[in-house]
Amino acid sequence: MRAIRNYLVFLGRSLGLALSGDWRYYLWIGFLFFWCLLGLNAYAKQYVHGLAITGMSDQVSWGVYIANFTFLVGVAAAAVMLVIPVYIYKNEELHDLVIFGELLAVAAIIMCLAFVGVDLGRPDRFWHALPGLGEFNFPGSVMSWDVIVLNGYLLLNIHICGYLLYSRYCGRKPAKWFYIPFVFIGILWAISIHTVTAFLYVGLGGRPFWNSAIVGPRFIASAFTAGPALIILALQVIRRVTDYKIPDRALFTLRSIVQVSMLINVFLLINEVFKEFYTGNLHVASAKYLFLGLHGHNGLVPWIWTAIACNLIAMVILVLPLSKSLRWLDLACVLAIVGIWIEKGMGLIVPGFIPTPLGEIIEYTPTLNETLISFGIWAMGLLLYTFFLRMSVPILQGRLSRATEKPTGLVETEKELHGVVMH
Amino acid sequence: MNADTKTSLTLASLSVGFLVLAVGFQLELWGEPKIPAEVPPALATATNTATVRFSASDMIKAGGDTSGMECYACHEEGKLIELPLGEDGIVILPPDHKDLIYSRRQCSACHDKSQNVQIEWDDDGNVILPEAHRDLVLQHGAHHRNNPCFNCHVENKLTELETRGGKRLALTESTELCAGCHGPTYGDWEVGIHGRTSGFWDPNLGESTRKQCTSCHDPHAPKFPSMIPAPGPHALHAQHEPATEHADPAEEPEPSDPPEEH
Amino acid sequence: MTAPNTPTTPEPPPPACANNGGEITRRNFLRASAGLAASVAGVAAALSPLRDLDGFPSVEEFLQKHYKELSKDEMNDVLQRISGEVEKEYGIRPHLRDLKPMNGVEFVYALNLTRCIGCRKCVHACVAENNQSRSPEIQYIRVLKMPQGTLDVERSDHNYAPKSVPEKGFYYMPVQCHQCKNPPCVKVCPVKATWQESDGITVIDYNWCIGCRYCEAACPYWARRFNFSKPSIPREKINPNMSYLGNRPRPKGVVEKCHFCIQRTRAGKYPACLEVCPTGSRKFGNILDPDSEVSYILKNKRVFVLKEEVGTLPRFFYYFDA
Repeated sequence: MRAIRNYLVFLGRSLGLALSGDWRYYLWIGFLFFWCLLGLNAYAKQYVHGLAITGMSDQVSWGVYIANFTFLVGVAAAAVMLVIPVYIYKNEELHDLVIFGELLAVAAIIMCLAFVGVDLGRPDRFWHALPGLGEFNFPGSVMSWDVIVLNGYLLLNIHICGYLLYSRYCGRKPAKWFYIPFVFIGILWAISIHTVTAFLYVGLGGRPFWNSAIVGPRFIASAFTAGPALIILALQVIRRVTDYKIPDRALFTLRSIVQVSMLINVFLLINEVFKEFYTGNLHVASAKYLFLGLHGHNGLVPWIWTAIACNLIAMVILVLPLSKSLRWLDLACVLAIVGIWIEKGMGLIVPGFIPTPLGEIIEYTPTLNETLISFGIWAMGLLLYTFFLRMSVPILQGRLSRATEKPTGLVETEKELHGVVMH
Repeated sequence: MNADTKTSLTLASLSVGFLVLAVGFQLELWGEPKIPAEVPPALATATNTATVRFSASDMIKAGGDTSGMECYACHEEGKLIELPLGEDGIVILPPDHKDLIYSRRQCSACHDKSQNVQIEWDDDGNVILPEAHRDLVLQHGAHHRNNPCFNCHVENKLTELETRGGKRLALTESTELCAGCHGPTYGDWEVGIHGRTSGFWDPNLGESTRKQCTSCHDPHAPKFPSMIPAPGPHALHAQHEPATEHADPAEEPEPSDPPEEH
Repeated sequence: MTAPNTPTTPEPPPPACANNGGEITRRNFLRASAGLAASVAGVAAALSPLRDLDGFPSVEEFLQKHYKELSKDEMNDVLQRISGEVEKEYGIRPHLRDLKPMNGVEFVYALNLTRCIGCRKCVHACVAENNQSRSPEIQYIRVLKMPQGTLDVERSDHNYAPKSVPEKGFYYMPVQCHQCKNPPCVKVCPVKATWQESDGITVIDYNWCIGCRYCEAACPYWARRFNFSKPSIPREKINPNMSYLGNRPRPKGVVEKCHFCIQRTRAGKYPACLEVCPTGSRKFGNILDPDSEVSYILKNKRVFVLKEEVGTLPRFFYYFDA
């Protein structure tokens, strides 16, 4: 009983903390909430009118929702890139930062689930996909694997972060047996979530553009580029708006990960492009549509070349000593994220549908409503991540702990928070 | 301004912002979502199961009005008829017989009964025969070699047919006559894979009926007639580039090639 | 949300706003309430489009079990409920049945490409028979106009609209669900909402499909269609002869496709696309019956299947006469 009460007090205090701050904090979460509302409203419209008010059609039956989903699975998987140095190479520098990475994974997975949710024609029937309750097509359907690995990864990360943070809050040393095994499972699991997501596409024999063995490795490479890049940016923001100390060396450890992953990513892209265009068989149509345009349809051409330009510039900056300057590193990270978002989102999902298996070319452009929903989900994810950081930073700093608990429990002073507020 | 005031101001303006957004939602300020355009209904003829023509044989079997087929209102029974041959040896069909051949078309297969047929006229005041009707001429066999009437009709008894082997057939038995030349096709027809078989695939549950040759082929011009295609698909979202659906009217379709008979 | 400072704070707070006592608390409380109220108003207003919603699914529909788990009585209840829904919506009491596959029957379709003239009557007869949405348009059959000398569908024209067909130099290839023996769409469905029946027809339980459209992505023949909005069927055009797994009106947000006119073929009749074909290009029947038309075609004609390399083993065969 007492343990439950203690835990509730912990949750209550954290939540109270997440909802209070100075004006800049309010402005930020207000801004995000504003976008969440826009997204919610757009989704209400979609719920009423159906997916007809998206840009999708029978020809291009998946669009930005699944594109974002795919990208974010990669971001979530990449949290593991902080875990590996810490737990396998005993890099203590990154120890606490792991928590920031894993919290990002939690937020990313929640966004993934939201993107899948808004893509469903019958969200009210989600329970049909719950193992035990509904009819789960396991192991036949790769999507059922995805349901398992994504939710499993979510639980794993919630457990690891939650346990470490609560232990710190209580001032206890975390019991190794209670989280280390999960950390190692998590490492494998992270690879699996992205591999399984790649297999969603790879397994479709009727879509030659996706039916390529290299898609899985490309997914991992791009995820391990974009994910750590996003974490680098997140850490820099944490460093700027809180007084939490993040050593430069931590960022440079991540830089070397992004560096190598980006090189592999570009290398694999070249492999794919070579195979498609040099062979020149009929299956090149989708790649042609993507890179060059097909029969006068070239909706994606500017996008993919932007992505390639971003990736190449990011790669050059990353391999040069230039990126030892944080400013250049930031630029490279932003370019890498944009490049990979396009390449893996619009650049992978949409051309898989163009031309259709019957050779028809119907292009896809997201509608305003669809875009608002996507922005809404991104805003929701960022809002969650903001809350998570807002709670975890003072815990890691020791500001928020059992020792600072008041008999009445749930209320905090604004002064306590100041350690985590901008200054 | 101290930080606390700033907080109050921020919160106040955010509240106002949310309320403005709420009003915007209520008034649907950024418009109704774009709902795909209405698709026009397809013509009733697109689902009409009639075959392209209604043969004399079908008419007789159905007990219909066969008065238009009364050859001996003009011809003298038992007397041979001179075939008017052109210079190229092809039979010249007298004008009053064109009508006889055309009249067996099943209009409703292509024309919607509820709509008047629009007749187009050229500058000289002649009716422009639609593409679908241009094949209505005496054209049987390669180089029209089977145009002579008495290859099939009995010379002095036009309502009867005669096979190459000299077997006499009623008009309703024309299929056997066709078989004389079109062996492989007749073989396919016999096993039910040439021409439509309608009704029940399962003989235990109901009967199936087979069309006769003349239900689809005009014996005088057996090439399967060209048809006006039913409307094509409508994409869910209008595409920037219009589909070929609204084809340039100046672009005449090339004369069609028949699926050749054997 | 806030309270007076306490001395337990481990580090001295950095300078900034000075908090003291109840006045701030009251003000904080007020502004927090204002923010909260505005947020709630925002959420409520954001959900306002839901007022246009024509009803949530009923409890019975929401809780309905998977097709294969319904007992006979439960199935009857479901049929009654759906008939009621159709009657309410379209003003006609349908003859709704749950027709089961027949023993010793496996359906096969054969299509003679020499004969097909591309008139598209099959497309529209199918729409009429199967109560497909007229707007937005859902059609199970797509007729491809192909240049002679190729089977490359990327060279096909779907939107041909000449004054008359056939056109010189082209042949026409209608494509619909191939009822594959190794169907990728069934394999990928995460909730088993689509499966292959013993007579070879791959069916969909429209009350179980979650609308993820993975099957649409998986189909190499582009045979599946999604109800992007609520289907619209003119009342007078409703075909009242319905089957649960077949042509009953579909709800919004689920996938559908050709089911070989299950409501006709499981009662021994030919499918609607065959009955309307003016050229007799379409042949359908039981491949397990050696005397059936399709058995003859498979034995005696040189048939082929579309995209054989994807290994789906279609039950839909094409052939040329000559």
